[in-house]
Amino acid sequence: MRFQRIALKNYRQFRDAGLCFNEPYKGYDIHIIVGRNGTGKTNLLNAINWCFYGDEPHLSSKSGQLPRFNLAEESTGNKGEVCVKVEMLENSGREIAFSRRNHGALDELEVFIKTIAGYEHYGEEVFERNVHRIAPKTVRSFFFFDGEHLDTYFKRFQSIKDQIESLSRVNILDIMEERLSQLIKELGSSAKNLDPEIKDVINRKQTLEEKVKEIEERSGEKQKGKEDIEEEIEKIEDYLRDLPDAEKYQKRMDQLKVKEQKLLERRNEILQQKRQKLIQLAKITYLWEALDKLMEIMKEKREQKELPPQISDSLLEEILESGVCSICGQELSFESKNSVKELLQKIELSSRQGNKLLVLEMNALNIKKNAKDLYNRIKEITNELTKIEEELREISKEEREIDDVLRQHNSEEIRLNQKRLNEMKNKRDDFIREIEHYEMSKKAILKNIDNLKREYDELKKLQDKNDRGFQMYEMFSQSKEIVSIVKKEIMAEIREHIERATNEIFFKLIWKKESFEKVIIRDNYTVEVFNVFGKNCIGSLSAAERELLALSFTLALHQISGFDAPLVIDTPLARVSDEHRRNFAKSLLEVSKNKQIALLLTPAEFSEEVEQELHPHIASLHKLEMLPDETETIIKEESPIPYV
Amino acid sequence: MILDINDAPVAIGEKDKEYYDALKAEELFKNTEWKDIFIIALGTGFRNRLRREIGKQHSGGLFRRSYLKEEDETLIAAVALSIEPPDVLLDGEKIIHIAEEYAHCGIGILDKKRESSYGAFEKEFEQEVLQLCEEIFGRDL
Repeated sequence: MRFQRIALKNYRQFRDAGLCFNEPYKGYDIHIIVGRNGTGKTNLLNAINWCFYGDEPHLSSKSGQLPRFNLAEESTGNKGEVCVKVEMLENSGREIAFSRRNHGALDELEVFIKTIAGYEHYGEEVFERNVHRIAPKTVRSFFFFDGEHLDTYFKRFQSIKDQIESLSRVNILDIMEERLSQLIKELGSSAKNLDPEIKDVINRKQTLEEKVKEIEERSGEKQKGKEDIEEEIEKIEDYLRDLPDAEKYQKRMDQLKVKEQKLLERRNEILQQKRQKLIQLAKITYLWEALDKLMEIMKEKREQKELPPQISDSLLEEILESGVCSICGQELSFESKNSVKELLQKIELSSRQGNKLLVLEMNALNIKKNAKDLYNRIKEITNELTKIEEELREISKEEREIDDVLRQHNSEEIRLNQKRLNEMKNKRDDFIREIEHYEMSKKAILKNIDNLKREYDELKKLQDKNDRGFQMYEMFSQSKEIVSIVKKEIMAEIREHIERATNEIFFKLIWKKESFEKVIIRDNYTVEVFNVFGKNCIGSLSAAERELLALSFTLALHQISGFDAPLVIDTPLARVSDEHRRNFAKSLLEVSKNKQIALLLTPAEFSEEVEQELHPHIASLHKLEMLPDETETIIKEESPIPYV
Repeated sequence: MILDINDAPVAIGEKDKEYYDALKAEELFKNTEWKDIFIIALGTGFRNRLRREIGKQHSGGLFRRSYLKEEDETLIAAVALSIEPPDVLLDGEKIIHIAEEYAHCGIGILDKKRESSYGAFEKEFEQEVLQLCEEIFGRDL
């Protein structure tokens, strides 16, 4: 893969410029661009980067402050586009051109692929895919770089190691490893050992099934018991079919007895009441005549006004004591006092008698009235007794009838059989209830078993899924391990390859072949150069030797990466001392036999010695010249006439 | 208390106690107090106009006079008033004696009735009382 042409339009110093990379001259594909500082050498490097990757990593602080659009063009008032077009020739002979344009907003990417029919035009996707094929952005620093970096190359070991991983495409394995780790983590967190749960469900199900069996056995026993009882019930019912219902009669008899007892108790109770009342009534009626006599006396007494007057004996006593009549207010005479005394005496006697008579009269009236109540009550009680007696007779009659019926049969046997029948029926009902209870329990347990079956099925499904998950987990874990091992092995292989290639290239290019013995690259990509005395002499290498080592290393990387982009080095000899520049130039010539090299040199770097060494082999030589107003650099192609 | 009497026992004849006991043994009188049986005996004697001195008394009498209630005293006093002037009311002892003498005869009559009823004493007694009542009530009420 080599550059054929780089066209620059309004790109920084380059208003409308182009670099033509001639075909290799006598096998040397080396191209020199010479320019003083500030003429745009590094911006040529930036132009390649901008075209391919859209950035300018080597932009100086001064250039960074300036617009990308060419100042000279801008000064004309033209607001055109910035464009860098890189035309390349693949090893297959196919020509491909990359173009990046910018109108001020988004960049416009285009790819032109030359075919027999002409140029085929493609967009951004094809652009990026082809850039990636030539030199991905991650590894561009191994292809298009500032020569000064060669000197400090091996101070960036970790960066180198990472870049080598990227360059050698081992980072794909990193991505794989990362993805696998993620999958392992996901599966690990979702995977669950369901065995205990399944076992638990199975155990519970078995327990319930045993319980169902037990219930069925018990229910069966009860069923058998029920059938036996029903058989016995049938027998008893057969026996009792044409017989009186002794049990029923007996029950009725018992009811009658209870009723009879209650009636008898009531009869006794009211009979006792009646007796008491009769005696009270007898007392009165037997002496009714005497009471009548008392009433008669009282009547006579009232007629004869023999009942005590309504004079208060206390008033008479008061008059006697005061000697003054409390009615007229006159003093009592001796005769009056005696009269009052006699009156008081009479009143005392007649009053006691009269009072007693009055009390007796009042009592007699009450007694007579009470007699009527007693009589009525006795009549009521008698009526009730009559009814009770009647009921008792009825009961007695019914009892006799029942007794007669039962007497015709063996009532005791009937009764016993009926009793037995009732017992059997009760027992059968108990069995039925128990059987129903067992059936309900069984139904509930069977429902639970169904639930457990479903739970089991779900767990089983989950377990199967889990098993697949475990398998995948195992597979991914193993894969990750394998990837890790493979990565290590590849990295080791790459390192060995790089080491071997670096040794080959270094010892092919180095001018002091006898001084050095070998180059060793450690696992962390620290580079050691051993001299013939077996000592690591990396610290005492000259700048040219260090840069050559770096170049060798870079070229070795190119080999293992498979990327075949040209090598563009900006100021590769800046740090190389004069005495070594020639040797270094020779080495570069050597490299250019197998790879296109474009060197961006200052006039100082392109010294006489270097020119003498390179000129006979240069495929193209360009010089950068800045116009006096410093707004534009002109690229002049000079004839690479062999130096004489 | 209507009557001016002490708490001495009500006197009965020596043999009267047997009559009283026999009467009390009847279902009709099983739960009846002595004083009530005494008044029934008094009523029986009074109705039959039979009054006689007790003679030899049963020791201890039949019951204490204090057991008599006002209603009982009224009945006893009514008997005395039937045969004596009203001032008899001032002589409680006499009233009691009159009652004791009527009862002395009455209990004998009752005992005879009891004996002659051949177990139907209660029924006969009831018939007699109710019939008497109906006569009285038919007349008075």
